[in-house]
Amino acid sequence: MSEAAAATAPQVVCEGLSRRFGGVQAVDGVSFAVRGGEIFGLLGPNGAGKTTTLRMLVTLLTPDAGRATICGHDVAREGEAVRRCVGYQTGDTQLYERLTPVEFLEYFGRLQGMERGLVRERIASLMEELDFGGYRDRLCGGLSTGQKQRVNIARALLHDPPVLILDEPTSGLDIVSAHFVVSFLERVRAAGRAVIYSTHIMSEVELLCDRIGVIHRGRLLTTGTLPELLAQTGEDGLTRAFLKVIGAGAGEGAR
Amino acid sequence: MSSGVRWGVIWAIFAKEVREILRDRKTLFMLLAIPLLFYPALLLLVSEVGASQVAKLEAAEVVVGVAGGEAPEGLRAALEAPGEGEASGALRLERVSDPREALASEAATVVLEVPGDASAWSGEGTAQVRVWVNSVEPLSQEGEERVRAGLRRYEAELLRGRLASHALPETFHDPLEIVGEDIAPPERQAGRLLALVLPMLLLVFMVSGAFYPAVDLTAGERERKTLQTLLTAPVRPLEVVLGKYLTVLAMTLSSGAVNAVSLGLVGGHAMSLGGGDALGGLGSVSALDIAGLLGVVVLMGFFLAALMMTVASLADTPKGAQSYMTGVYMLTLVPAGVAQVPGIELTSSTAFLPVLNLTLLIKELLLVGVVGEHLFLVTVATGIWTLLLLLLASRIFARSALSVTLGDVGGLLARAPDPRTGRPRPVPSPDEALAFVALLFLGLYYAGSLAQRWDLLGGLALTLGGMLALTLGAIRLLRLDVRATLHLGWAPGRVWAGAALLGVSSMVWVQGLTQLFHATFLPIPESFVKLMESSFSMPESVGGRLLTVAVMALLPAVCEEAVFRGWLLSSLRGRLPGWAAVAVSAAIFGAFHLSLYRFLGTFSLGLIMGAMVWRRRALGPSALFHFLNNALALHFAEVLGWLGAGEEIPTWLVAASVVLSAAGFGLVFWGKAEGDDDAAA
Repeated sequence: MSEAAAATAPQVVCEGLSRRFGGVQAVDGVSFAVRGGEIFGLLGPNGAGKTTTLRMLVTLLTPDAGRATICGHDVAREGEAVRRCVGYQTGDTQLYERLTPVEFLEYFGRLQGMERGLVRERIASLMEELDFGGYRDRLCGGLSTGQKQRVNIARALLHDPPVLILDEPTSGLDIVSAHFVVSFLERVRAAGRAVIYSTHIMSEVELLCDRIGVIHRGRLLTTGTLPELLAQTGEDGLTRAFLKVIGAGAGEGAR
Repeated sequence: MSSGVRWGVIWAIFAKEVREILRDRKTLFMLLAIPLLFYPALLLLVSEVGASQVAKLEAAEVVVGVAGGEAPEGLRAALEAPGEGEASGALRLERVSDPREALASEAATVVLEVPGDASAWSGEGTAQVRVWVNSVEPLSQEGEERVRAGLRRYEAELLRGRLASHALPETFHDPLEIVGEDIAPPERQAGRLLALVLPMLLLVFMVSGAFYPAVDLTAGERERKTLQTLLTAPVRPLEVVLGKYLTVLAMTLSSGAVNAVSLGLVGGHAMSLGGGDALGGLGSVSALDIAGLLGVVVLMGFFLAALMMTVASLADTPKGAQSYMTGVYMLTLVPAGVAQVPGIELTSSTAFLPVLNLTLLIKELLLVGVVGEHLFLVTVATGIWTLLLLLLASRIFARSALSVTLGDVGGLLARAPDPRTGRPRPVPSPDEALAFVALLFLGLYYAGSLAQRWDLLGGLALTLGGMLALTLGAIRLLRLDVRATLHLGWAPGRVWAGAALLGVSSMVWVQGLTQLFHATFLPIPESFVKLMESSFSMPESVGGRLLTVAVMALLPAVCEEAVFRGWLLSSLRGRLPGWAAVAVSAAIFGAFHLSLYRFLGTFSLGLIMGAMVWRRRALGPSALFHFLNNALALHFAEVLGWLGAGEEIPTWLVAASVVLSAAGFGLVFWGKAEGDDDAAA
């Protein structure tokens, strides 16, 4: 494969991914693909199925039907290989309170099977990029939400994964921290990683995402770039376009 | 489910958990401060307060109300003069009319009702005196003691007078002197007391050490959502479980140790203050007993840590985990209590019941000393229970990173594909294989020993047949490849010939070595040899002999090979290096014979058969070996006694067997191993 082809080959592929919890069909036949150097926004209201979809991709849940691959590895059958290729981060993840950020990152470096020297190198470079050197030796339990989130993003990127999956990573952050995360992700994209970004914050999607998938009641209703979405709905802003899409979805669901 | 573990990952998890615990003041307080401060403080408080209360009571004045008639002068004197070593407080006699009223109004501490008729004291009859007390008043009880002591003194005086009046010696009323002699050595007498409290105390100490880490490392981590982060790293569930288990185990053992040391020091101090005569014999407990006790305590830690962690991992929140664990904790106290009942002892039927077996073993250790066979059985049983609990915990972790639901529990039996190929494995995974063999152990132990009590041969046939049937059932249930699982490959003629040569010869030198080992290091009790000889005895009739050979040689050759060299060994292929897989399967095979004195022999044969199957991927030759070996062992037992006990094996026979075995080894093992090409691919 040529280098150019590798850069554009889909790193994440979902085909008809489905998952049911008891009587609720949480995810229903979701299909999409994400290439390296692309940020794919998964946009949906609360309870739409965003988190369940992402959890299936990071092997925390097994799909009932359909399949998904990450860097060519099947999420249901090759869990360990998939987890080596993915960095996963959610807005509500906590750190180990009685470890310092450096100890926390060293721990995950060892779990990733990385060499000690490489772990140190990566921690140093991520510390600079994410600017958490000022509290590197404080216990995580005493850090602010924004500080914790920086350390957690460093943890997700520590093993240099080609795919980064972020589930509402700015939830609970103040505007400064949220802005920092968003602008950091632009650099992550520039490094050629495939990023899946789930959120319900429209401004972040407008700013960041190359393509957008709107998910509602477990179904992926539409995917496309921002201009495509606007053209498709005939609206002039993402919020209105989004509401129109899920409004149509709701109608379809009721029929 | 993924299997095969990386010790580096387990160590990383363990080290991180321990580091976090050592930084947690709450846990450290529970672990160190309570035993190191609580016991000494408690002892100090109880002994100080107790001593001062006793002194106060002994110094207090006692008012003895006298009701009924007049107390004779001699009685008054006996009451008022305290004897040697008795309370020093004053005693005053006072006349009362109604004993009940006098006690209720506290006019008297104790009331002595004497006969109204003064003549009752003289002559040779019996005068009745009545002592009225209020038993809920400590001072009234103290008064009663003093009054009774005075009455005894007066009674002795009266008796002396009566004997003198008849010119009788004082021994007249004392025709017998009863002297007790206890042949139990002092350390066992002390052990009897300790056996009553030690198992329960150890259980409480260890559970209290396991409690908080077990909750925090499982349900706590799940609630804080760090578990999902951990499980999105490329770690395997069993690695997570083992790393956390080792942490809980370390805490359980430390807690047991710190508590025991603290209690020991405090107890020693208390004994030095006096009143510890009953435990004085403990100073002479042998080093072997202490080592045995430590061993049992470690075993108990292994089991309790696994139990606590597995139970806690069933909960979503620490609160839920705490309520589950409190229930389980209470349940573990029941067998510990049952073990205290006189007559309940460690037998082959109690050796496999968790907690009960460990508490009974502690009791036995303190009362009798180390019984090797029992220690072995309980170790095997505890190993099995711990293994099953940890395998269950790893299934729970694999299925429920986010939360535990009833559906997950149903899915605990689901098979995950091989993490490296992504395809379902044609053979059992090591955890499936081990869990099955562990369950087989427990099930067959009780069913088999029950059946063998009814009829030895019939029971044995049923046990072995059951093993094979259950294994085939499991293969079908898990949809495994029966040929791959049972190593049903075909072997060339020279391998069969080699196996036959080994089969007729190995037993002689294996038995010789085993005999030598036991004679040198671990003598076999005579009773055990007798038991084995009666089990291996051959009947007279031809039909009986054939039946015995069929049940004791042919059936094991088929059924045990299917389980140990088929099912178990195939699960380890690709997961362990050959030597380790063979050693593990041989050790489990040896343990399966459930006797310390049979372990070495069966383990050695297991090594030969395991190596044969590992290299040739064919069960047939090892089954032939097994059959010939067992048939010959029956013959041998008939001629020389079990394990050649008491008889020297003739040198020429040993030499011939070594030569034949060497030839057999050559034929079986020489040349390229079977199926190495696929293994490489």
